[in-house]
Amino acid sequence: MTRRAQGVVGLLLAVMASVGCRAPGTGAAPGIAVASDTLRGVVRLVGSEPMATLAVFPAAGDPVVPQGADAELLRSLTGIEVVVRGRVTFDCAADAGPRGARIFELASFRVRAVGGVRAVDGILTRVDSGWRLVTLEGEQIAIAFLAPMMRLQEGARVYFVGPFDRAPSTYGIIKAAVR
Amino acid sequence: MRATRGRRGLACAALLVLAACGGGGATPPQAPAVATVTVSPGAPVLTVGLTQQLTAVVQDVNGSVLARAVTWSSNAPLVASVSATGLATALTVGSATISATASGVIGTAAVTSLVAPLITGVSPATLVPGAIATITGAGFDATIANDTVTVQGVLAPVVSATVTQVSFVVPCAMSGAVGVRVRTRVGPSALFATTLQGIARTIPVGQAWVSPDVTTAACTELAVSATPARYLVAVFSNATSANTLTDVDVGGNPTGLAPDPTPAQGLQQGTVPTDPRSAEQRRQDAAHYAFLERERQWFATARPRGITMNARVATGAGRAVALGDMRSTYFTFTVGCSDSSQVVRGKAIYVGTRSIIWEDSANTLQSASLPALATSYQRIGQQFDSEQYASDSATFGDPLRRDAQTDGDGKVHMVFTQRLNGSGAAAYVTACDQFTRGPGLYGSNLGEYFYGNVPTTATPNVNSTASPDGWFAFMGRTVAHEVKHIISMASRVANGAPSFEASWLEEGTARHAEEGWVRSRMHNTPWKANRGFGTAAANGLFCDFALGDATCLAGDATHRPSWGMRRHFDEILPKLTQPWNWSPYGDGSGQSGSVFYQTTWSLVRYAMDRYAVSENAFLTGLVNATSVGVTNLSAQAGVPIDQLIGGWGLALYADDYPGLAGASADIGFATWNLRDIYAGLHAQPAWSGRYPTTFPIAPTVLGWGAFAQRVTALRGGAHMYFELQGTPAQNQLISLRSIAGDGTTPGTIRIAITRLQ
Repeated sequence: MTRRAQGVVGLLLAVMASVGCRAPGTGAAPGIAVASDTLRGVVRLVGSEPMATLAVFPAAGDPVVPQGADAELLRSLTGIEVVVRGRVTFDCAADAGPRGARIFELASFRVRAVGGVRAVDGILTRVDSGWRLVTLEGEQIAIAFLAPMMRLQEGARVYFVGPFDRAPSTYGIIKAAVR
Repeated sequence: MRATRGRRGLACAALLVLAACGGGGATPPQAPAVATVTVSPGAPVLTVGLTQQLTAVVQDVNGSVLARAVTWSSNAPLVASVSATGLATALTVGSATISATASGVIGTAAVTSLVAPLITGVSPATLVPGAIATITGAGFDATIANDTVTVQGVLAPVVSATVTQVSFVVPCAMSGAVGVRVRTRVGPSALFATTLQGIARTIPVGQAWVSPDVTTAACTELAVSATPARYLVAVFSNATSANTLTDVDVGGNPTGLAPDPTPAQGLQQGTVPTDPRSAEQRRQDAAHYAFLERERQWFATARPRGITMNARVATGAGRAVALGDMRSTYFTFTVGCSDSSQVVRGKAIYVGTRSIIWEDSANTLQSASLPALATSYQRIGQQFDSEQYASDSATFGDPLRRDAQTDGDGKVHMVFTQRLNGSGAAAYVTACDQFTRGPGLYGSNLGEYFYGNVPTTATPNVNSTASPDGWFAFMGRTVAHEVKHIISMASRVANGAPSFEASWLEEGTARHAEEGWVRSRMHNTPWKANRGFGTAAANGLFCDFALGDATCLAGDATHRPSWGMRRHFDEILPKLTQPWNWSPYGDGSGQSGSVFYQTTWSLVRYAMDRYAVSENAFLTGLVNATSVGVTNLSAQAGVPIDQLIGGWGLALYADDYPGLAGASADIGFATWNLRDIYAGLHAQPAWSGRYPTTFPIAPTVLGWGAFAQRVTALRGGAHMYFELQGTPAQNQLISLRSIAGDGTTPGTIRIAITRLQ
């Protein structure tokens, strides 16, 4: 999906989210009949601890609350811009925001930007004597220089910030390598 | 380059046949067949007009070298010719394949013929670090990666290239005459003389400068005079995520290609820092972290279940409460808002003007049979009614702002239950209490509630939160903290904000609720009073760290014992000892201890001391905003977040720096004297083990001139400190570059500098 298309979908979801949501277990209103919804926004943890809630904030409109196995991984990405894919529902995480927040059944996500600078995530892979980032779409991106700390993270899901024609010096770990 | 002959197999087969049929008769020895011809170098790059001797090695199938005649030829003799002895000559720019043939087997070398790079001009005439400049001339390589540009020996990132032009980012080099050079695969050009003029920054003693962007951060030229001087340099990341890490090389007066840097202090040295926390604190942190993990699990799995309401429970919210009344309260801490299965049966043991205290009837210790506990509860309630309600209201807003829409009783409810003990949380507030009970919110108590843990042993011990007196000392300021959360949530609901506040800022400002009450009622410390550690007689910070001190207890019997501001200044210690590793934007993955509570508190304290018109207006503004996090904080301060993070970083170290008089407000905390506070802790026998020096931040000390330091894994919003000291001989350059050595600067990197001497 192009960036423009993502923006359109994000705006659509934002408008839908502002219409309101229903609490879980009420009525028979189905989730939106779209196989895969996409939303671009910044991951934030909101509210007071320890009852804080993870939400994804689009540029406009109300946040959504991602749920699902991969939602846990977003915990390490607060403050970072991502694209989430899955299904937005009418169900409401009522305690997540003053107006409630739609629950987003998260199927997958991609890191897109840090502080407005493009970022790419994938699996850190060693190929011969070099390193590559293998995106979830299968694209292989050669990494000109890998930060020393990241050399211990072969097999981890990570992200790098900045253009890849230079060595990326800003990075993060989404899911650490299993040793 | 090596080649093999296709008919080699046939020859071998023929030899085998002959051997099999020999029948013992004499057979003339066969000359070994040529299997490969290898030409080296295989891909020479030659300058036009120059020569390169090529060699050919002829081998048989076993790798044995054979003496065979070799014939040389070029497929493009106008580009590169070759003599009968293998001497290649580059004639014009282009490519040619040179072949060596022996017994029909061919080996080749791919010759690239180039002209040596020649610089005829550099534009602009005066180079500016960080700006784009263009070299014109000839012999450059159209592939960016094959052109290396240096300015005064310092690598410059190339951004575009043709054979006649190369554009590059002017690197960090000292102002003055410089030589520019281009190196291609052929070799280097001659130096081209031009000039470079950076901005020589003059930073007076006590003043500060914060880079507004990465371009200015990449190269700083300090204008210095030949007198003893001391500067604090804070390199920081402007990423707004605690888990975003950046590596950067910090160079002083770079005059050549980056040397191997010396590791600066920190994790990059491969050492595991000593955990500054006490064993008890570590235990509590671990419990807290475990709780958070359970919460995460709950959010992922339990909430969607929509557990039905327990019809037997009626909270009785809204009814007038009298002492001794019993009430059931939903306890959603472990099960979530949608679940009404957990109920605390509480007894009203305090009914005041603004608060009601409910004591869980299942608690091990009951106030009815333990006077010391009854007293602690009473003091908590009275303290809130007479002081904290007003303090929190003035600072943030009325916690009962939505009372008419909730339970309409004009009270804040404090539910003290042992169910919370051992969870790692001393107290909590849940947003679901702001909403009407119903689907997904069956656990809502619809009112202004917070929940706290309780003491479990009757034995007095002011230093243990398990004892009634020690619990009171801790819980007293916790009430102000938790009620701030109620205010924040009520305000956002009332204002129709799209979201609650980001957790890091919510918790950091809740520390300000504690501070507001403690300063006004206990320490008697006005805003910007620059208060230090104090003494027992002055009822200051000293008493917050010496809970059992008789003078403190006697001097303020209303509030003491109390932790006061202890958590603010003590639990920030990891940030002070490992400043690169702790972010205000939350604890990073694998970190525990909620260090960010006080780290963010400190950031907000700086922002208010430096930029606010009044503390209350600033904090009320944060609570009533519809934006969150960095956007909210930056808007209230009226400056970009880079300015806040940079200035705050300087202030953490430079505040009340010894001998630094007349310092700018940019580099200090006007309300607190950090140097005096930590020197005071260092001087206390009970605390000197945790504070072995008079001040916990220890910058890496550097001399003037050339230096190379590497910073790795710098977290978003975190700092690495350097102190430049000595007598400078000339202006000082500080460059920040990628550790990959490609001359670029990570986009998240910024720098802040102040002169201390």
